[in-house]
Amino acid sequence: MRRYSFFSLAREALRHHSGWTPAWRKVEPRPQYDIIIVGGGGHGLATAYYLAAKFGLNNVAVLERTWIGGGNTGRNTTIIRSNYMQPESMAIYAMSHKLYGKLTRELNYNVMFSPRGLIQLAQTRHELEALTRIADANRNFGIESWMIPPNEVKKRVPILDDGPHKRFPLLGALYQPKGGIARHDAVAWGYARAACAQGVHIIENCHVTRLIEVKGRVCGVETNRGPIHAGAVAVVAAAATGEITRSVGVALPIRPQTLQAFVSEPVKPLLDPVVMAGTVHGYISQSDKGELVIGAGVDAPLAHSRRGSPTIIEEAVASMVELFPCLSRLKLMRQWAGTVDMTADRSPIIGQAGPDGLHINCGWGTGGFKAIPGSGYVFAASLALGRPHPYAAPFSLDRFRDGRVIDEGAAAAVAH
Amino acid sequence: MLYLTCPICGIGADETAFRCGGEAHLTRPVSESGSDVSLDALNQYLNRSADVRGWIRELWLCADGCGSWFALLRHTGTHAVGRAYTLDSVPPPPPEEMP
Repeated sequence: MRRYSFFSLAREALRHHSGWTPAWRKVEPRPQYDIIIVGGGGHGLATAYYLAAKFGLNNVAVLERTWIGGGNTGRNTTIIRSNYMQPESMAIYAMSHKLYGKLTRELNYNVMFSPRGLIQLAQTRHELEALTRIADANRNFGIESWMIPPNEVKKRVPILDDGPHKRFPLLGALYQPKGGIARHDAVAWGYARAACAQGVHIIENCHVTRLIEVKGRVCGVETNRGPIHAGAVAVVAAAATGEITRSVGVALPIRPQTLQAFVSEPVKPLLDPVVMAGTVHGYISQSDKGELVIGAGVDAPLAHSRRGSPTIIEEAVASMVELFPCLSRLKLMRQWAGTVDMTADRSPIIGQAGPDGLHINCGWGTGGFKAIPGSGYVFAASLALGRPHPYAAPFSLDRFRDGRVIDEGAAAAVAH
Repeated sequence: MLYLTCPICGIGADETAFRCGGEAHLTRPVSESGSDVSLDALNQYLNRSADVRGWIRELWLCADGCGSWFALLRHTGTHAVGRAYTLDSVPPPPPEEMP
């Protein structure tokens, strides 16, 4: 695979860009792999990449039902941060954040990671106390994240309206200077290309219908392109994971819900950091193209529809106009909805599940994008070494039965 | 957006007038003393999820109307609304035809 560089760009510019090859190869599936990864989203592709690049396992296939970048990885608000509250979460999200910092170089693919700063507003006394507690937890753990007073918030976000007439006063904010955003498609494409360069098979339009179990061991998958066998199967399919694991009798505590996001028409730069506001229920950042990328809460009813309710659109717009009255005449250009895999404690499920040979990595809910590199690394380590990586171990499926939940409901950007 | 009709007060309104209360007809495992309930039974009760692409039975609260809870058949893939019924009635079967 050819490296992308200034020189390759210059050479192709002189040849009318006739020499570029596809970023990853189209291949026919082999009958047998060491490991099959079901789901070609960010987490699945990152797992495949680290399996091949760091643990020397190249006989790996990623099976994707639609196309790479067509699921939630390519349709989210791209926020990257690690200011979580529980030590287990801080460990994995901080690792992920660190990996994002060098991802462009590692993958030789520009993921446009922009650590522009991230501000979580405190607009009630309770929110101020909750965020202060998170700031203390972060400092104790060594994550750069602290509280800033209202005048500093105003300095970093001049368009924020904190006039005396406001229903919710600005009391301060939790600030993570290295939080930011990245280009979501590039993360998926970059991992796919880098994994393919290591010999991983990326097979699109391959729909896994059920798992194949022989003598209490999962040893392959049934697909629309025939059966494919494997030493181990890793299901990394977000809200579709339960549907697949049910074929071997494993029910997951995952609630599929609809999360929407919105993009405004592009405007000149007016918002530097990412701003999240739990009380008015919305979060916003400005993309490199100038569009404002806006997120809000989830729809309450369980759904696999990928169709959001207009109520949420109204809520998101209202919260943004409350914070930034200057946006009131902007138009929303696009809206989309995806199915997120929510768990009761808002933490993921990583590890072995049910019969031998079956591993899952799901339940990332509304915040999976920020975790892609870390999740991929620890899951790959667990698969390759045959025991849970220390950062993955606390997120095992049996924590729900044993009551060892890792409660991150309070650390979500907005209550979901 | 769902348009629902409360089977108790008969008021029809869009979903913002109601609150979704999760899966209906769940029974908490009971025993003589609370500690007898097995972890697995409790886990099944607390953490099970109606994670299907199909008809489910859900609890809804008629929040802006009569304030009572009722149950609703709803399709998670299409948002099609089947029957709403009171919790003391016999749960109706899901509609046969897939919307």
